This record gives sequence, C-alpha cells and structure tokens, in this order.
Amino acid sequence: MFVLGAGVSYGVVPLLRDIGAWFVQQLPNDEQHKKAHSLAEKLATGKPNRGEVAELFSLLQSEKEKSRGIWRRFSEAFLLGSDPKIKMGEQGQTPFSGLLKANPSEGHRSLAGLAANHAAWVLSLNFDGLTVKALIKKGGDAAGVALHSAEDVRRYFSAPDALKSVPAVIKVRGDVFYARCDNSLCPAAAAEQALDRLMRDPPQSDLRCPSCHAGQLLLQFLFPGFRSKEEAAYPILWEARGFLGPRVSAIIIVGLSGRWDRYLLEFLFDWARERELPVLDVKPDGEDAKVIESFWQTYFKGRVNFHFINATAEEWLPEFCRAFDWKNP
Amino acid sequence: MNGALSYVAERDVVEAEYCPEGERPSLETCFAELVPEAARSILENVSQWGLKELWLGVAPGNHSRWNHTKGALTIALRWYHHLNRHLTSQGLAKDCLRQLGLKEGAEDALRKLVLLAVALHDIGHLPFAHLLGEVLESINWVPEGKGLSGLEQEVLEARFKEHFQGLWKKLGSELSCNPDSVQAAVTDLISGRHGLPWAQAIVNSPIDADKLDYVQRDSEFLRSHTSIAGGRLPPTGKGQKAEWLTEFFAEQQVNHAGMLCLSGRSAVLAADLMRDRIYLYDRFYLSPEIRAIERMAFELIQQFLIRAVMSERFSQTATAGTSSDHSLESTSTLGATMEAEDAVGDIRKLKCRLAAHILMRLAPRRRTSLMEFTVLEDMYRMLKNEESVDAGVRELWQQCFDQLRQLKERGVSISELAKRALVREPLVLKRRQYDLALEILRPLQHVYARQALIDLVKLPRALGGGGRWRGRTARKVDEVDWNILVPEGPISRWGGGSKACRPLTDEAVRELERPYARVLVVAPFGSDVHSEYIWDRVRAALLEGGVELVRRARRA
Repeated sequence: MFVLGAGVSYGVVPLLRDIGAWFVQQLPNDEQHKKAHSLAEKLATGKPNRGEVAELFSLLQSEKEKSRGIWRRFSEAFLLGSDPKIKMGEQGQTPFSGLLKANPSEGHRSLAGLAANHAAWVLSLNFDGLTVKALIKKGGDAAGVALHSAEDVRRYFSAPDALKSVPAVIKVRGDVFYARCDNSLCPAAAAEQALDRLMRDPPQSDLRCPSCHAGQLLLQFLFPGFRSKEEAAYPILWEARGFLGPRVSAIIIVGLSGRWDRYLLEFLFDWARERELPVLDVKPDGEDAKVIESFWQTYFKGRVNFHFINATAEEWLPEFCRAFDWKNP
Repeated sequence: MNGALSYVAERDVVEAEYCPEGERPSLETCFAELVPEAARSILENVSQWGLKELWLGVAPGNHSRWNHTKGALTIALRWYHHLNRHLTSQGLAKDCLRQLGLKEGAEDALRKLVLLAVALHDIGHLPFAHLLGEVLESINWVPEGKGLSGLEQEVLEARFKEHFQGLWKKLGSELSCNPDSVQAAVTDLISGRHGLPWAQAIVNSPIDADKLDYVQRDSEFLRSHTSIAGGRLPPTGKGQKAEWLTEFFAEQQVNHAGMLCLSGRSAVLAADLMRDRIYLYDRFYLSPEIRAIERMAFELIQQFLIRAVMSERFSQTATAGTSSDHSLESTSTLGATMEAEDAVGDIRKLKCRLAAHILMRLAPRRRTSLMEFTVLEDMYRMLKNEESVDAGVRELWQQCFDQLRQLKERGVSISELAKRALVREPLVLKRRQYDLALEILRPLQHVYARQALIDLVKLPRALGGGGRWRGRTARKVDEVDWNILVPEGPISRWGGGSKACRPLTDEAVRELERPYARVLVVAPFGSDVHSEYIWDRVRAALLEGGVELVRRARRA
C-alpha cells in the first residue's frame, strides 16, 4: 500500500511554502492584516507549527469581506492559474497554471500502472487528484475513482454487481480538498464538493458551482489542526483498514514529511505492528527527512521493521515499478 | 516428509453426504495428489472433541479430526467450484490471481492452495482439543498468535517443518515460486490472514467450511448420543446436507473487490449457521455440565504439564511405571533447554514449545478407540507418584481421576456426576469483565486447592474465526477482517430477496451475541456445606472486585 504525501506532486503543484509566499505578496501589510501577514511569512519560510498554519487559514477563510476578496483571488489562482499566479519550484519562479490543468508526473503514472494491475492500493493525502487523473489518462473513462469518505470506501468495496474491477485512490482529507459555493441561496452552499468532482477535461475557464452555475465557488482549506479534518480522517482510515487489513504486504510512504500528520503515523505504524508489515519511508534527505524515522524510533522501534530510502518520488516510483514486474510476478 | 510424497487416495477424501447424486466422481478427481498421507495419520489420532465424547459415554470412534477434515474438504471443494465458476463468468478470475501475485492460468494452483489449507487447518491441534489451549493460557504459557492461538501456531509450524517440506517444494515448482511462499500462503489462509477475501471466507471465517462441517457433524453426533443440547439443532438427515449446501451456495457471488457476497437465502442460511454455532457453545461445548467434568481433566493436565516442563526431577522419576509408548524420555525441561540453547527472549514461547513437544511425545501413535484418555491416564500415573505435593491436593487429583474413569467406564452418567459436583448455580458475568474475574479468582483457587475447582469460561463471539484484529490507536477497535458482504439491517431481517451490501461485522450480528462468561465451583468430592461456603466466597470476591453479576430472569 502506498501512502502519498505532497512530495509525489513536487514540481507539479505548489507546496505550502509557495502558497505562503503568494499570500505574503498579496496581503496588504496594514494593521488589519498584520497577524495574517506575519503568519504567511512564517509559512513562506517553511517554519510554522501546526497551530500557526491552522490559524492563518482560519483568518483567511473568515467571513470578513476583506479576507474574502483575497481568498477568492487565491481560489482562482490555485485552481485555474489566474493572475496573480502562484510561483513554485526551487527558485520560486515557475508559474502555476492551476490545479485543474495540472498533469500527472512520471511518479503518478507509474503508481497508476501498479494500481490498475491490482498490485497496489493507494492512500493519498494530496489534494491534487493526480493519481486518479493518471488512472483515467491511462485507462480511459471510469478507469479510476477517488474515495473521499468512509461511506465512499464502504460503498466501493461493498458494490455487489460491479462487472469490472476499477482501482480506487482512498483520500485521507488533505490540506486543500473541498470547494463550497458562496451563493447562500444555492443548495450546494451547505455541501463541500470534492475537487476531483469539479475537474473537467478540458479545464473550464472559470470556477463554477455544479449546482447553480454561479462563478462563486470558494476553496475550503482544511489543514491538520482543523477539527473537521481530524474528525474526517479516522473514519476513513479505519474503514480502509477493515477492508484492506490482510491485503497489504508493506506500507510504502512516499513524499510525506510526517510533520503535520502525527495521527496518521500512529495509525499506520499500529497497522504495521499488528500485521507485521514493513514500513518504507521514501523521500529526499533534507530538513524533514527524519520526522517519520524519529517517530518510529520513539514509539515503534523493535516492533515494526522500518527503512528510510533517500530518493525523490519522481526518481524512485518509476524505478520501483520497473523492478516490480507485475505482468509476471 | 522425507523422500517421495504419498497422498491419500481420492476416494478416501470425499464425504459422500455432502455430494449431490452423481457429482462424487468429478469431486474425487479434483482431490488427486492433494492431501498428504501424513495429514491423515496425524488427524486420525486426535478426536474431534478431546475428551467430551467419553464424557457422554461414547467412544470417539469415527468422530475424529480426520473425518471432520474430509467433510470440510468436500464442502470447500464444492464451494470453490461454485465461486470460481461465477468469477470466470464475470471475467473477474484474472484480477483475483493478480491480487495474489499469480500468473494468468494459475487457477488450478489457487484451488490447490485453498484446499490444502482446508486439509491442514486442524494440523495444529494436539490431544485434548481446545482444553489444552485453555490450560496453557491459564498459566500464561501461550505466546501471542498470528490469527491462531499461540499454541496452535507453534504446533502448526513445527509439523509443517517436520512433515510437509516435500509438499511445499513440489507445489513451489508447480507454481514457479519459492516453497516458503507456498507455505506462507497456506499458513495465512489457515490463520485467517490471507488477502483474497472469498478464498479466506472458505478456509477461515465466521462461516467457513470448517464451521459448516463441525456444526452439522457435532449436531448429528449429539442427536444420536445424548439429549444434552436440547432440540434446536440443524437437520442432518440423509440427503439433507447436500441440499443444504446447494441452497447455501445458490445466492453467493464474488464482487469486483474479491468480497464474498451473501444475498437472500445464502445470507439466511449463514445466519442460521452462526446461530447454531453459538447455541452449541452455550448448550454443549461450554455448558455447565460439560465444564464441570472438563475442569477436573483440566486440573490433571495443568498440574502434569507444569511439572513436566519445569521440573528435571519429575521428568526423570515420572517415566518409571509408564508404558513405553507414553513416556517423557527424550523430552526436555525448561532449565535444560535454556541451558542447551542459550535461550533468551520469549519465555512463554519456550514453555509453550516444550509443553507441545511433551504432548506430541505422549500422543498415541496407533489409533485407539479411547484416543486422548490413554494420555490422561498416563499423566495421572506420573502425577500420583509426586511425593512433594500436599496430601490434600493429591487426594483431590485422585478423586478427579476416579470420577473421570467412572464416567469413561459408564459407572456414572455425565448428568449424575455433574449434579453431584456442581455447587449451586453458575455465576454469570459480562464477557468484557472476564480478565478482571480471572485475576480475582486466581488467588482464591490457591486457597481452596484441596477442596474445590473454580472454572471460568467465556462464550465465544458470534463472529468466530477469521483474522480478528485490534487497533490500539486513539479509537480502540476490535474487529474481524471484512471478507464477507451481507444484507443491510439486523440479522433477523435478512431474508429472501435481500441483497448483500455491507460487510459482515460484529455490529451486523449483534443480535446473536451472548456476551457472557460463567463461573462454576466444582467439588470433585461432591457438593456439600463446605463447597457452598466456597461458592459464597467466590461470589463475594467477584462482587467486591467490581464484577457485575448478571441476574437471569426466573422462569414463570
């Protein structure tokens, strides 16, 4: 089972620090925005803690009209690549063309190959939906589905009459995941829509509500620390464990720092302990490289077999898939 | 197994009662080169119920693990064929093989793995059936098992190594894979940890081939030999078993995710099976009458094993006076083993291994109609010479053995003996308080070791078998692996036309649960005023310790 973090989409979608840099540029540096500005600066340097990030996005998504204007511009820049564009990459120079237009990387495509051949299950913390996109690009319509809630997971595994086995990506509610209509008269204003359900090919030029078609769709950014995110995560994880328990032979974590998701690490290592599964942590050496290893050393050393692999998802996933000959196992 | 593998003849494997008219020859063909002779010779010498047949005044005879295995195998084969036909017609068979890492066209290999797992599912059993596991658990000698009990796991691994190496090699070359992987796949299927849900459902699940056979077989045996379990047992007449199975398979299919879907009548019959199984546990396997007798045997087995494993002197002196077939020669005690192996690590595992080794050594090597009783007899013979034990305790052992021998020789009936030995009524508590009660009762048993035996047993969960797992993170979860889909709603509402749409979980069968444990006070010398005082002490200690006793409504 592969557990995907933001590192899998590195270079394809912006990281939190890129988003932070955008807000530093866009937020007025006045008294009203002082707090948000300083938090955004921290985010841009990659040094904030969970509480600070949660606080920043709470402020930005508050009902106040001033914040709302910025948040709307951010939603459009993030999803559609509107101006002012979010910049990403090592030097922060590559303009992001919008999530709805983003294409899967080589890593996503390799993983989609494994999943399509029933050789892997995928649990993703990413908001980009690129693994499902890779599955659909590879296998055509209905070649992959994203499961966003415990009910989705149960319905997928319990479908009695499906004539074809379609791989699924189980989404543990990620950093940015949902959009909600801002037209208070629209029935969809009460419900959050999963982003992958708004994505169309070719991408639409603006962001419209699927219910009232008003161009007033806003992102809902749910970072760890938000109660609704934490509450939504466990039911999905336990539901997945009920169905996948004996089908998993190893847990391979790719591109996940582990810094924001202690509950997930605890859950995964507990699963690994109970089933005697090895855990692999694939990410390049760097600032957050040892977070998962240190968690393992503190709580699960001697009870779970753990290995750290120093590589980027982009390098490692295609190489692993080439080595794993699923056509002739 | 060294050298050439020998197999049981096909005609000796099929249980005719489960086969519809005319299907037997084709089923026999499927068993060719499947069940190793070594499996038969191990299973033929272990009775299905340990000593319970003798307590009912019947020689175990054909009620052996081998005959049960044949029944389970025949069911499994019919079941496998039914599901495989469905998978092939839906085009899902290929996906199933891929999920297992098997090549296309390996259907025959998968069939062999599943059937072999059913054929060997009881190979981890030693004499005395589950009583032995209880004995070792009560003294904390059982290491944590992976799906199976730790004892069964130990014996299974030892026997796989000793008898079936040739089999893994042969299957490995047929499947072009490592023999260790074949062994691991069979072990996973047996212990309920395999990743192909529908195959796992056949081998080890709440409704597996093992339970289908033993509920039918045991009900039939009970009906013919006793009235102890009352009237509510499934029909087992001629031709009914095959028909029952045909109906059970009728509305079963496998979905895209490999889950076994039970709809309509198939779900109803699965519910019946689970209900009957719980009924058998409540009214027979763990009924107060049976437990009162088993507790006496339990005491003898436990006292013997403690000494045989822990005491060098006992091992050396006890052998004198036993038959050459049953002796402790060549067995080793804990101290000697630790010294020889320079052992470190899990001491429970080592004790369990030594106890299993001793039992395997004592187990009858030729088939006798009394099966395990001969082992119990030898254990007692060795125990009674133990001079270092308090005279009162020795007297209690002797009384226990005399009572059991009388029962075997039909000098007394089980109901007479139970009536004499059971002190007042059973004390009933909630199953979740079992561990608490165990800790409270342990010291009391030591205090009254010369007068009475205290028995504590919990009724099993409605969803027995399969890989039950426990999550230890923020939400404490205790569940079975979800391999089977059943209709929506409580189990009593499953009916014709209902469609499988949700996993078979503890919640789905909540109505069937009997979440209780029972405490009995057993007086081998007969119930009297002293043993009634002990019963009062037991009750008071439980209440003082915070155990909530369940009051049963009196019958009008």
